[in-house]
Amino acid sequence: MSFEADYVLFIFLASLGVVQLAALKNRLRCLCFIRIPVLNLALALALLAGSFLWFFISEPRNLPDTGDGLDGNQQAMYSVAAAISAVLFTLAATSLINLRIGRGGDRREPGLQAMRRVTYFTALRRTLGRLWKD
Amino acid sequence: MEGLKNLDLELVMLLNRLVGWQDWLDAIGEALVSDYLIPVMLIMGLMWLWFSTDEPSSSGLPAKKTVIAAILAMAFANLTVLVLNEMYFRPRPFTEVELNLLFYRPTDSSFPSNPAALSFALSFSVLRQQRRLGLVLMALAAVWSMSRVFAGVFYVSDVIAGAAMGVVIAWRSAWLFRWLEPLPTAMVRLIRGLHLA
Repeated sequence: MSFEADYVLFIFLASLGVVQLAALKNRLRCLCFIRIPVLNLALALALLAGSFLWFFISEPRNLPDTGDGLDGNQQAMYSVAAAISAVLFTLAATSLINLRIGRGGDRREPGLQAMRRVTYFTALRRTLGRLWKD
Repeated sequence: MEGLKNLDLELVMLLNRLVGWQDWLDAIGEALVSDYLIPVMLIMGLMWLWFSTDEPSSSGLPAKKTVIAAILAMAFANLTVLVLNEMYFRPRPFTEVELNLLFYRPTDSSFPSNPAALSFALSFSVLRQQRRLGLVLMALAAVWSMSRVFAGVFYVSDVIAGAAMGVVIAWRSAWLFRWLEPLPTAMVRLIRGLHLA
């Protein structure tokens, strides 16, 4: 794989790990990949540590930006793209994984907190539905 | 002035003398000095802040605005360094004396240090609102900046100037951010409305 692809994958995997850790800390259970907290914690740490170890151990990474390395702007662009992709992947995947538990009650919570009871797609559908009615 | 310049060079040489002393120290140095280790940790710190501070009792808005302010401060810091580099070129220390490099040979100006400006702009923006995470990020920024001196690619004064610039830019960005209100709050509320914040 090219250096760019490696970097994007690195940020993508590390971001998945951070989002899972944050979801656990804030009890956003419908944002978790695995319902058992200990296993989800293990997955999050594996994603985070694994991505760093893989990226730095697999190949030498101190490459000049005039050569195969990334310049500052490229790095910022790839970082944002990979982090946003990881968030979108998490929202879509957890909405499918937690389909059965993520229907929640009628209680509506704002922002990310909604994912304590319902999946992202359910929360978004309810919000948009309410806006449509109004 | 000449005395300060000599002191600057001597400090680089003093730190750089440790390169090659122990293999494990070189390995740690090579990792820390990288363009990708600490910068990615700083980005992950911002992601953590975005996703983890929604306490039931609070709106969570300050944390989200802190993330946006930090990104804004980083962009301003980058732009300022770019402009300063066009106006003033300082050769890297490895062009003045022979050093054991742990990094590739950058060709741009040494002064002010771009990594120090960016990382301190980001971490100081966070420190203003989130003390604990801000201190961790500040420590990472300091380690990254000093590792560049250890690796022989920056003078200490480049790093100090970059860090000071980053802090001032973060402070001024926060002022600009407040001046732009209620735009940032509206923006965060909109993102929050889509359950993304």
